[in-house]
Amino acid sequence: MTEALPPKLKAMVEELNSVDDLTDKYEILIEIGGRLEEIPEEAKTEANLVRGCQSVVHVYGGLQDGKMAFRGHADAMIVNGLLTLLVEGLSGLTPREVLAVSPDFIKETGVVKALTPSRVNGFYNIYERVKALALAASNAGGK
Amino acid sequence: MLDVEKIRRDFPILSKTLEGKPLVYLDNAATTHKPESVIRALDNFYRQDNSNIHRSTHGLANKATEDYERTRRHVARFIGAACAQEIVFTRNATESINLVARSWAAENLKAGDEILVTEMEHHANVVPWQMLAREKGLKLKVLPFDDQGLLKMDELDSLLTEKVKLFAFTWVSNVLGTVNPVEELVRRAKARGAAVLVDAAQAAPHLGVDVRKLGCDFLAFSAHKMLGPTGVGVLWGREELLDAMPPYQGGGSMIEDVRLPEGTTWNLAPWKFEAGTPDIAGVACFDAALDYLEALGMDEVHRREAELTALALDRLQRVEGFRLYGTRDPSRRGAVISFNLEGANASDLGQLLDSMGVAVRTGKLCAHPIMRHYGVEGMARASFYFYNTGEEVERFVQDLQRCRKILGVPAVKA
Repeated sequence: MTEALPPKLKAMVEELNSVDDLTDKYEILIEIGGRLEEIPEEAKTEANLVRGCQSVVHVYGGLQDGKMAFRGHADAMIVNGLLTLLVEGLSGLTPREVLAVSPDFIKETGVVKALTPSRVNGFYNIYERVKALALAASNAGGK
Repeated sequence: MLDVEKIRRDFPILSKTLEGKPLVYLDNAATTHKPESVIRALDNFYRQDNSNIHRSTHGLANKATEDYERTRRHVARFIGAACAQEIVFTRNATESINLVARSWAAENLKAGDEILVTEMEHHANVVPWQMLAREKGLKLKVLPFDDQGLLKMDELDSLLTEKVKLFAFTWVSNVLGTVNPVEELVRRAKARGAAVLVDAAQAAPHLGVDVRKLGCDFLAFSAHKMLGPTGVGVLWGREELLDAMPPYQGGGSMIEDVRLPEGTTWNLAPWKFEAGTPDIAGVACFDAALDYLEALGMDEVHRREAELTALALDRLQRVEGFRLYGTRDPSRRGAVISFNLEGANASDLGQLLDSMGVAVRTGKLCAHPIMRHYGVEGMARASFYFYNTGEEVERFVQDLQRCRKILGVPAVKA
């Protein structure tokens, strides 16, 4: 399944899949999240807030030269790692390419058990937000 | 002295692994596990006795009705009720409180009247009153707690004005673990003429309950937090109050006679509050849960939990950055420990502990006002039951130490 993933996302997913133990996977997620570029305080707005997460999560983004550029931050480290998979892994793609990425890869990593709205990890809600941003960009004329 | 190894063999789920590691279940304040006897009773009901109750004349229906009503009598004995008619079965403690709000309070309170709650209530004992207050023009007042998680008793009398018609409070806090001085609170409220509802969801599983000794008017709790099934709650109410209260929901079995277009009359309490087919199997097997607790003895249950809590508090104090919410006084707290580790997010702690096989609860714990009191986004909560062991407590603390190390490196940019 990782074959079909965009290269940056694929690399991170392979890193997660390289270990079996869930604690080790979380450590990798924390490390991945630690590499994420900080967002400015003024970006932590109500509009950018992803609801339904136990931790405070902000995600935003839009088109830059025809490609999606996402940014985000979560105040919990594991969620921040999950967010990084999407924010880093899907930036640089066209809106259509973003929309073509299935979120199922996350189940195979074992760090998220079910793709349902969950307050604990928030992955699904973050994924939905990223998709909505790509869809909005696509409707606004991006390809 | 409880034989914990023997007890643990009665709970099939306790031998389960989580993420390949032996499960350490410390989320008992959310729900407890079920012993074999309860699981068997549930299974047996559907295999042998399944039928609807209070309606048909055949033998199965009679047996199912007897199973259901036997549990009602058992609950009455378990909490020292005057009679079985004082026990109403609901879906959970939340519904029990909503029933009182929608029936007794809606009937007896008028615009300008006041309801007193405390700052440490579970949302279940806040939101029903807020909804009613909004509709009827009532005022909600709040008895605060101090930073030790103890109610500010010196503010009680000034809050209990003659306008306060109901004082609804929790016996044991689901977050702070505080065991409130329930008898004193009831006595002082009754002295001012207020009715009293006690939320016993976190008390009934751990402490002996005697409603006559408490002197309150209503008491609510859930079966699933005390070895019973989900979907069964209890409302105890004083008989004369229940008799005078209007029904909560309309439907089958809560009526005496139905006439068209009007003129319908109600069944007697408690059945007039049990519209429609209830969770018959759940109620029937709750009987086995009460048997189990009685065989252990509630004093033993409490003593065992106090031991585990004392051990956990002792070990946790040695964890760098450990912050406890609630009192350290063992005589004033139950088996609930809510905490944070400085610099760590509670949800990270919960997920990491889960990955190590340790189940705790994290988040706002259905108590946003308590989070606001301490100015935190969330907490982690470990809660014990009599089947937990000292080894489990030690493993929890060791794993928490490991979480601290993992979360310390690398530091997330602020």
